[in-house]
Amino acid sequence: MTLRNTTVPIAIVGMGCTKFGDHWDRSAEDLLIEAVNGAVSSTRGINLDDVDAFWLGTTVSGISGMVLSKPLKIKNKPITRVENMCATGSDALRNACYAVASGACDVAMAVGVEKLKDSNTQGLVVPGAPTDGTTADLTAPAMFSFLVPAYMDKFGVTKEQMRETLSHIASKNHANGAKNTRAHFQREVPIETISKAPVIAGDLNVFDCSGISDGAAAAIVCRAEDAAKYCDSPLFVRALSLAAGSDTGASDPSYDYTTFPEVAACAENAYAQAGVEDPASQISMAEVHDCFTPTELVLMEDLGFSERGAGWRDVLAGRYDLGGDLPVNPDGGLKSFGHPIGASGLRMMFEMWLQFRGEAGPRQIANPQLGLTHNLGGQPGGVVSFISIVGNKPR
Amino acid sequence: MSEVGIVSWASYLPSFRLDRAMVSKSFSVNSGKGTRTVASYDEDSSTMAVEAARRVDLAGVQTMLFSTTRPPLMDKGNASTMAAVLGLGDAIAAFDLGGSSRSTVGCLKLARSSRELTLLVGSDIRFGRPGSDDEINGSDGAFALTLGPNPRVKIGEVASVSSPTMDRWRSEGDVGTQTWDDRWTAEQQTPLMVSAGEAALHTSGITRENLAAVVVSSPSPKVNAAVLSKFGGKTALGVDQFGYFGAADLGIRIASALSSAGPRQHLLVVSGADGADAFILTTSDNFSPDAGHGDASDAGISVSVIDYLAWRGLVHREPPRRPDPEIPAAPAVSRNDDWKFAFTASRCAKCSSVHLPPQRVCMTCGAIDSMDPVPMRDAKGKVRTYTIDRIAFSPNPPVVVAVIDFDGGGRYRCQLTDVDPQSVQVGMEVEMTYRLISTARNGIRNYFWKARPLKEKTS
Repeated sequence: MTLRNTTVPIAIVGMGCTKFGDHWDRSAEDLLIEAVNGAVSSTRGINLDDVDAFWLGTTVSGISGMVLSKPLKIKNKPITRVENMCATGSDALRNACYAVASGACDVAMAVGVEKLKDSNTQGLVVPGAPTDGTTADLTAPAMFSFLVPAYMDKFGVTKEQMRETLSHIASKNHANGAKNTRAHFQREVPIETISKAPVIAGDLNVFDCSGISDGAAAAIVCRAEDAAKYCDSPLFVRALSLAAGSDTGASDPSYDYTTFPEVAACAENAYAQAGVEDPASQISMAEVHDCFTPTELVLMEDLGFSERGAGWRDVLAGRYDLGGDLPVNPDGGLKSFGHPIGASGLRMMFEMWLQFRGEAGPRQIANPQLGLTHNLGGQPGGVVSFISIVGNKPR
Repeated sequence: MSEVGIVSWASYLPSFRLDRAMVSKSFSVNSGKGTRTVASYDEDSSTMAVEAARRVDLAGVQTMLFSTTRPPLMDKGNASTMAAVLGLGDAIAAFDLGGSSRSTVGCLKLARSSRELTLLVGSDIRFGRPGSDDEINGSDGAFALTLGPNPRVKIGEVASVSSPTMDRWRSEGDVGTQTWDDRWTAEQQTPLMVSAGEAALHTSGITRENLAAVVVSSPSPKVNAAVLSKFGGKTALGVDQFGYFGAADLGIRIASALSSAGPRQHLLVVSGADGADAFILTTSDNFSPDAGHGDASDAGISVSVIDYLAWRGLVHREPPRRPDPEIPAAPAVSRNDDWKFAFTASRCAKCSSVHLPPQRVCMTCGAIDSMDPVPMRDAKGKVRTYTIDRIAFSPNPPVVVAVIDFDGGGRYRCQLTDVDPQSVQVGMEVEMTYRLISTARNGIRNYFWKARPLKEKTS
């Protein structure tokens, strides 16, 4: 695979992010206006008119670039609507970076939004094309619950150990979210409460699942060499990697439901781009796609933070806690923010923005070197994976 | 010209049992003892008929007849779909002949007069208003017979008497069948059946003393007992405990009687519906019964009265806040018909990887369009991993979904059925069964294959 870093280095010079939550009183348009204005006003001197091109990530909140241009009255600019499952917001950012790197424009914006709480359904519902009716209808928690018995079986983890591990992940992310005024759920949840919650699917209970929320986030990118014009402490993009699986796990007996091979491949590529040789020691913090607690567990291994089969021990040892060696989801993750699909990837990047600028308040991680954001969309056996690596120094 | 008769036979009884004592308790009626069979929430007359037909040798079948009083679809028939599911080929002549329980005798008479190998499937679901006779004395099930030359069991001429007696009726839209006073109907029905039976004996020149068994089929246990005693028979069948199977009754009883028959025996069959029909079955010189499937002796899985009523649509659960079941797109179904109906997968000719659903490009070696069809309908497999989904839509939550790795290659993820969710384990052996997945809001019934715990074949 030949997938390189951009020849022209890219920097993020402005970001905005709404509070995530049940925004009964606000529309997708309201959320877009807040996120875009937040990004613009965080820069020095960039107005909305100065942004040459836009990438808008949304999965179910509208189609076409006019979802963005209409509320903000952006006239005759190139705006592309992006959809790539749960990696939608991250892929909007990736495309905006590529546009600037190509030389086709100087300043670009990536925006992600989702308005989920107007639908009267439980869980996430993403409409698909008509089919022959032969695909088993499963909810997302059920799809991801396949990881649990497979992981326990392969690595000899007991039911009690697994429960403790998953509860630790949920508790950690909620503890982080309790320190974040933008999170949907800003409350610590004791491990005992988590372990006793009602079951949703397989071994997953309510607290093993991320919530459904509304939210939006936006990022402004330009050439790294121009960053200082707009921003005192820009975030430099060190790697952008995307991997779409061939979605064969559900029909391939060699797939064992203890890994996301797409994420492992995506990580290998991202680390090569960023020159990372030992992610477990070189990555200072990570925002990963904790749609369900076992997803975060498996990701620790696929991202190379833990040895295969040892992720659960590292979780229990507190390695990924806010005060641990490699804090994961310091902002609270999907567990605390919910998952407004188009916005999540950019919300993760917003935490990097705050952390590297020293603006993360009670969640501030000391002297971070490299940060990683990760999304995945789909289900075990077939996912789209996105990874970025960012830092406060150009490469 | 050799005679036409029964070449092979089988019946299928669903796994679930409703305890009549529970019906008595729930509705303050006297429901008697024992259990009845209950089609699961994902079964109907069509899926049960398919399961029965899968148990007979279908090679060479040219015509297929389907008899039921509860056709899942009308106007568009069900037999042609079932023929596709059974892999009988496009050239099959498949017909629905239903309405009355008596249709089954009509099918038998038609098949008897044809030189073609005919598959006759009868299937029925018996229910009515809670506490009704059809609920208490009815049972759900199906049978399959193949009929043609060189039979193992000859069928004598059918003696028929037709009667307009209004003993039972069910209009379109009615929940169940209503009946006239049962003493009056018994007095009407019994002599008709006796006279048909006598006519069958007379035509064939066989005396009562020569009969090895008497098979009597009618909705009334009282009438059945009277007719049986008239012909001196005491034939007890394993399926007697379940009651009347409607359009499937005659065939289920014939299959049950043949499972304990010997060579060169005569069996008198008397059916009472819209009058009466009777004929003699004669087993061949080298007749020996097949190993049965043990459905009747199987204790089955107990179903609660409330689930039973929900399955029959007589009580309605609050659905989860999830989207309505998907409408299968007719053109997409047609494009994938071997998969959709017959569960035919594809195997890569280059590297042997099995693909469910069939693919054009091999997931293992990347070969394009070098696939051979591979039938998976009868493949056995094991549960690799599974989940119990408590928020997905189902007429009978929770949904149990398993990843099945098939013996001989191939993986498929599908629902498990006829299973207690708590009993599912990694490694559990399963087989495939044709079921109703969902009914879409436009009325399309979406059928496909599910896995169920492997039923041990018993003799």
